[in-house]
Amino acid sequence: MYTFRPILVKLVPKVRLSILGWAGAGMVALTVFLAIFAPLLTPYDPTKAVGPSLQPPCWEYPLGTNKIGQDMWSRIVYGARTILIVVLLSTVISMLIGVPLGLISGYAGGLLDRILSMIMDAIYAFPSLILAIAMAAALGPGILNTAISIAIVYVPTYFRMVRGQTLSIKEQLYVEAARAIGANHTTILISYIFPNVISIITVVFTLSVADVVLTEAALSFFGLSVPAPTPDWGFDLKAGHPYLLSGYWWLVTFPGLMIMILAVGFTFIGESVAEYFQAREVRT
Amino acid sequence: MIGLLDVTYTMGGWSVVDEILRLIDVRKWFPVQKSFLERLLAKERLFIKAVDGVNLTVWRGETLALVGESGCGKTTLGRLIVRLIDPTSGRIIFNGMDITNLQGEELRRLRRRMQIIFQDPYASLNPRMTIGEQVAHPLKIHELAQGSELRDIVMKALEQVGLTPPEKFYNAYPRELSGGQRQRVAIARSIVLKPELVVADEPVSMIDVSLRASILDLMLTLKQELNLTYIFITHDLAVAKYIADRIAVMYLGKIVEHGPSELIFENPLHPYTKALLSSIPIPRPLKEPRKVELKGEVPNPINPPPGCRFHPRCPIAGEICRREEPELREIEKDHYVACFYAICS
Amino acid sequence: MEEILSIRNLKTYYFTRDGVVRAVDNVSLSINRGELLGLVGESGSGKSSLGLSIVRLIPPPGRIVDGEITFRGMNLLKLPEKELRNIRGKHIGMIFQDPLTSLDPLRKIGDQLVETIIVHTRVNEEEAKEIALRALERVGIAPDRFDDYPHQLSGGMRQRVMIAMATMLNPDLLIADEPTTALDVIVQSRIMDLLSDLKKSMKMAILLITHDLALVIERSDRVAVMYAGELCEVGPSEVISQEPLHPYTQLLLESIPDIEKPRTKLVYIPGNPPDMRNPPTGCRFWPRCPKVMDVCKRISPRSLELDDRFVRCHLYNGGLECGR
Repeated sequence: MYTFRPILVKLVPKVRLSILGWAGAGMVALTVFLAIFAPLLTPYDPTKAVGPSLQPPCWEYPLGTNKIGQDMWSRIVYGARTILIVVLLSTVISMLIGVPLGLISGYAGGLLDRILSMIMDAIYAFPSLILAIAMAAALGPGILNTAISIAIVYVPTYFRMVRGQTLSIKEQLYVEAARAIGANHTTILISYIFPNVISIITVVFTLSVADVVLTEAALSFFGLSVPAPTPDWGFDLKAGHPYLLSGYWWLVTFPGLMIMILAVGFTFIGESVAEYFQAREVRT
Repeated sequence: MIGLLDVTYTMGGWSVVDEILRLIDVRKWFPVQKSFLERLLAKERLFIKAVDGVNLTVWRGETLALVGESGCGKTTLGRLIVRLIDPTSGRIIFNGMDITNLQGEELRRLRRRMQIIFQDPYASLNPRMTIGEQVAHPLKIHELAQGSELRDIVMKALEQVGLTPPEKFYNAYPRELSGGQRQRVAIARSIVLKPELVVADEPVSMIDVSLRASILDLMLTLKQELNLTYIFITHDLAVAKYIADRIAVMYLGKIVEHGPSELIFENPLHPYTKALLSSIPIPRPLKEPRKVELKGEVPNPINPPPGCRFHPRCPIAGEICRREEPELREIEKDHYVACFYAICS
Repeated sequence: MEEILSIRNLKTYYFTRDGVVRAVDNVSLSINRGELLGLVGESGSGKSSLGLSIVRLIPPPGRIVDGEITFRGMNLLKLPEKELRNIRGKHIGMIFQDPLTSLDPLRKIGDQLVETIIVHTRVNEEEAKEIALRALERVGIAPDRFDDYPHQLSGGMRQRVMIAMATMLNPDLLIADEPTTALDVIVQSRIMDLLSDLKKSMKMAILLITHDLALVIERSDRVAVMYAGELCEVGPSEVISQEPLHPYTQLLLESIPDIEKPRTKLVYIPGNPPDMRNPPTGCRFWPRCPKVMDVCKRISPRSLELDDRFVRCHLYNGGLECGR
């Protein structure tokens, strides 16, 4: 009875979260909940004008309406989808590029490593927002394009951390043992180095995803994210802020609050996970 | 082809044995990393001469102990033999085949015939693979078995090394096992390909003393069952005495003495060997402090002393020792010493 | 013989997430002035924790839970931190296994010695340097190495510097935790010679903590054997080596390869040291003991003291089998 271990179970490390971590998880879970059950939670279509313009929160429109007359509550709920999809997509793209390059660069060393590191350092040196804006402006609007623009900013982070970890794992005795039993470079990378790098990928992910959220909000604030009628917190923030001084506080507060909750939630999780892995290192 | 065949005495009795391994003037020099400025200004490159001219023959079926203190080069030599590192010069002949410059696919195929067990059982196992996966991996890599046949072989190997019931260990991770158990896993992994030669690099020095004998006995049993030849690297002469047929003593990158185990202990000829033997703690109270007549410290392998490398510390060093390097000479049957003043007592 | 350190009913536990590790469980031991007491144990025995407990350097999540450690008439466990710091380094010296991590790699060894002297005494820098140079000389390090950095010295020399640092203020007690484990056997022999010399010349007691029973029997006046957090047996090294009472001591002795004897079958103790979070009930050695009896599995053995010996084993509870 050779037990089949699903790859996913193996990849997702078991982590113990602190109270802070659970708080963060709760915040993120709230957003995910909104995103998944959006149609059930909203009576209105967020892209259509469904009510009078600039209505304050009331029974019919719990979070009020904006200038165009769209229901803010529906826009918030569906906005969760937008931001989560973009964040997820860009993280996946970052990982798919940064991790393999980091592994190969760290393992191979030499000229390849030097060149890749220089390129990555160059990208890393760019202020992240400026880079994202430049990419988004070049690529144009849309979920995929936005995801790519953001992804480019974080590729160097995954690259550097994975490369660093690879460099140290490469020197471990069990990797030498793998060579001694005749494993070729590919096998060593896949079976010996990569599984021991996953923990650091997790840490990088949890620490950077909050940043990704804020970058996405910033991009959409500048109108460089998803196209207009699609609900987007950053966009709503931008659209609502001219009216703030006139007293229309609900246009800005709720999108801003949601962005903050999501970013802080991810940050708490990230800190908790990083702490857990640090404690684990010490214990061994 | 002198010495390819010989008549020798191993644990089983007299037999005709052939050479399984021959090292000819093997050297491994590690370049010293220098800063850019230093490289610019210095004229010559410096090297750590870890192994500096080793000639050795290993007979099939024997256990040869490679003994020496830290810095003598024994660990480097072990890795050279299994070709985990490339020699700087010299030749390594395995089963009559020159393996000095093997690379790539050929080198990997060679791995089936020679294996290595490392010193640190906590570091030599992949923390993310189960025991079963790790022991199976050599077979998978060389495509020697798969599926249920593979599983059976692994189970049998686990049993052979004393990890019973094997099912319990098959799905466990290294962190769930003790040091002794992990070392058994490492041993299982090394024998599963049925190699001819196994290099064991200090396999018990990180194991509790009261458990060492069980690992050593296991290795001896496996040697019988699988017709193995061992090169046993250790700094502990007492362990060497227990397990080895022949002993080779290393100092600063060279072999200074080698011969059958009993002869080395009864009649050590090289002053270094004598000093080593007299320093080993024995479980009887000492009447007065043991004064080892060995001055100084082990010199830097970047700059070994001229002539005989041991002369600065040697209690009987003479004029010739400062000028010339002694060669290994056979002083009594099968007992070789590299010393100008070694005589058969 | 005058007792300088007396440990009574010491309990040091580590409160980890996976359970409580009873590293030192009700250990009583004393050390006399000028004697070398060898504390022997294997992994999980608690010997290092015992050494650290004496100077209260147990790292969290560990804690000294109970007991009394009397030194010079004071209970070290109840002493305020300030006075304890005064004792550490001046009256009780400590050396650890790896001198590389105990010495500051960024400072010259001479300076590190001088600083320690100044912290503990009222001398000025001139006098401190004098003391430091003499200390180095005493451990066989030439004065021209005063300004060297740790990495410029070999392992053996670094350990000598540690010994100099720990002994230069003439402590009453030196706690040496695996001082020679990382060193080669020739260097080890010389370091042990040095320690014996210092012991004699300074009337300094040494607590030598190690896993090497042969070393301990060779060099110690008395031997104490620990297993799984408890003391098994204590006695003069000559007596213990010739007439070990506790089955663990007997097996341990038989498992040491003796190069002066012909090659015989080496003994090993079957099984593994216990999981210290969940040690066996009764005598902790019973699962591996060849002389186990029913009572051993249920009741922890009482200690039996006889002259200069001490043993905790149900085999001797009657007090008649000791053969003394």
